[in-house]
Amino acid sequence: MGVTSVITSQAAPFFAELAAGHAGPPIPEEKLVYFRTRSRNRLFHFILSKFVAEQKKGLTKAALARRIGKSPEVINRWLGSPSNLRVDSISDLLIGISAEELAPASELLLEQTARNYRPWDDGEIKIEKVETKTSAETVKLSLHKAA
Amino acid sequence: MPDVSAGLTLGAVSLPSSLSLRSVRSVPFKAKSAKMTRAGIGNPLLIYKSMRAEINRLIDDGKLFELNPLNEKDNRVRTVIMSREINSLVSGPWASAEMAARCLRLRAELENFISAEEITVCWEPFEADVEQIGRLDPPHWGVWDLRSRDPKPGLRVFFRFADKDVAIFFTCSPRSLNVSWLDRLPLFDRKSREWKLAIADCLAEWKTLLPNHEPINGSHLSDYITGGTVLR
Repeated sequence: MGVTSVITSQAAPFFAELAAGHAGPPIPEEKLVYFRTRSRNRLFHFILSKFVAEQKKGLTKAALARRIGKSPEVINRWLGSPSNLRVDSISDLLIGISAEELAPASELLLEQTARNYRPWDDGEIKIEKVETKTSAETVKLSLHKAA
Repeated sequence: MPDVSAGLTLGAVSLPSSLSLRSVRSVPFKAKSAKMTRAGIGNPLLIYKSMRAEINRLIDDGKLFELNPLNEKDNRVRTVIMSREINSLVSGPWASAEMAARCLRLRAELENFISAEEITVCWEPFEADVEQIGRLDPPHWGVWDLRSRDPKPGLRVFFRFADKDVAIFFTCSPRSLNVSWLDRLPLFDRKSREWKLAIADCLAEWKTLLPNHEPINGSHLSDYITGGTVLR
């Protein structure tokens, strides 16, 4: 279950100019850069996930390059890491990979529903050392099976 | 001699609420309660030490930091833990607007490491092309780098995997040019002395903070990371 909140803690000052509304101060360049990078990353992973799915059905970078008339080097660069792809390049990639076209959507930044799940919380605790020591203290642990 | 006090902290009584009982959610067994009593010298003491507890203690002590995405809605596939050096880069304060822009771009890339379903990986050292992360030579040392290429000069952040999908980022070096706000030399060619020093620095940082633990050392990419993609 998520927790609905307004921007909190560390994020609050970061989002201050955005929260100020249309009459607010200029948004600093470094924050614009941060969000540009996020957008690049999101688009890249959207396209990469399409490619990975089609790769399982036999698509290769070479085949994609041939189909959309680009060199293998260009495809390698586009699929290797996030970059400032042009809209035309995104269109070519989606058409060539999965015969799809872009359907833009966006989401509000200022009202956030925090994700409760942290992978750091998950996973097995590794008992790496269990040592018997003589000491002034004992530790009593009650263990029970997780639901 | 083992660090007795560190071992005791796993009893969850001294960990902050955000890091104690929640950290054992979804495991077959979890600590329901922990009780420490004085029982006099001579009684046996069981010391349970896990790397996770050790990292949580280092976070408590301000020696390591967990990166939390600024957008709380972000997907969480992996965990990024940072040294003081990396935390100061991505959290500020910054000396100039130029430094702030470059460091926030780096922050967005580290946050992307947390949230992206797929990450492109260079699995074989020296064969890196445009992948997002890569395993460095020699592979059995378990040192990796995250590549932040744009804008020039590119940055390389060195890290090791404490667990699958849990990476500890230690140091950051410029790829090819001096950066006034980074106190590290450019790495230059992949077989340069500077690369070797950067890898050695990462190992030394680990040894200082986690002397009794080893990073994971697997034979398959899936041993390290969920969603690792080697492009063909």
